[in-house]
Amino acid sequence: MFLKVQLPWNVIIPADGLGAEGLMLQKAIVVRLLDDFACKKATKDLGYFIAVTTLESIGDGKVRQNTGDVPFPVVFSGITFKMFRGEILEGVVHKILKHGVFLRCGPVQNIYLSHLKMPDYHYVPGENAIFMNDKHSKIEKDVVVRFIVIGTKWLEAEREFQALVSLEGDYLGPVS
Amino acid sequence: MSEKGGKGFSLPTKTTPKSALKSTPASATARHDDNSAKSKRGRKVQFGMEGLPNLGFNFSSPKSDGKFAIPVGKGDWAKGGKGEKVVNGGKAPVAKEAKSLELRVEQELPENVKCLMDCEAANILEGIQEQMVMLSQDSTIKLPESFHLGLQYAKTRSYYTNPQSVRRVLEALSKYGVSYSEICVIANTCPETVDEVFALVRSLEAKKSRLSEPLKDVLDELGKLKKST
Repeated sequence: MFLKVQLPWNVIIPADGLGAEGLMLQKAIVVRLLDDFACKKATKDLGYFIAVTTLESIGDGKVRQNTGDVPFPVVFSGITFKMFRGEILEGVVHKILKHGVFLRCGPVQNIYLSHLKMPDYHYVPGENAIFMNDKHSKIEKDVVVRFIVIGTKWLEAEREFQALVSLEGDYLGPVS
Repeated sequence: MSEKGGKGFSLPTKTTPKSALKSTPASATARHDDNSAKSKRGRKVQFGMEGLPNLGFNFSSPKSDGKFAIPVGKGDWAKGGKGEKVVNGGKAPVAKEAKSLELRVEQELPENVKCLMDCEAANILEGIQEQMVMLSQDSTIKLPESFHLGLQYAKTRSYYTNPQSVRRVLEALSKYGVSYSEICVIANTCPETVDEVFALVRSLEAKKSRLSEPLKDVLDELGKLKKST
């Protein structure tokens, strides 16, 4: 789900950006913050960084002795997205394999739904392989599926999450 | 029967449990059936366990018999009676696992973090996008990669015209002990019936008797706030 977070951050303004005063300095700090925020992509605790909403405060900067640049302690609010175990979400199928399907949900690109977690659905091979159940409900590419999250995994190297989901439960499955 | 999906996931192994499973007749309900008839009966499901069936979720624990955060000790599972769970053809592991898939967002989050409903997030992100059109004339301003994906997702999940009204309506539930994250899940799933709410937000099962009536009123109110598609 989406989260509203309030975070302290250190925005570092290089020495050459410090000629500006007043509003120009504030602008430089904001631009730098947005840049750092965009580069960060995601963290394990807060999920994917989506946007900065407000800048709550900018503290006093202290010049670093050796490099001459100035870190400013700021506090800002932003929106992030994280999947939680037990949460109900909807994702779009983008790949069908014999033993399960891969889905995307918001910024999370790697969500796996195993065929073992798709009760009553069986694999129908073919050029456009699908999963189908006895009631002819189909799980195929670009179908929106409502699922429950079994677990998530944070990959430090790629700075992204993977998730394992299930359709076991009432009111879960493809949605029209 | 051990299979590997891509990306290093370990799939659950459905070995027949060695446990003696004493349960009342299985409710092998199809997924979208309305369970209301069965929900009236409390159901005791007892598991005399020798060893937990290997779910083999190789997620947070490296061992393939990792229990994957299922907080079960050996011995009888005395907490039975939560009869609402889907029992797939009477398979024990599913019922247990389904039980533990309860939302525990608040415990996992640090203090200064709040949950947002998808409709609230959509509003905020759309506002930012409008401003970005202006700001993008300045090429130094960057948006995170996930912004567009997040915005698109929030928009598709945004069923209500007015997030503030939705929040007001749902906040009535908080006095019954419903946490804010549970309220967000209810808003995000846009349920039509009370049964749907209890099926999806499993952590509310325990308060079912208290919640059914107020939930019905809340859902009626929410129905009026829905966007017409």
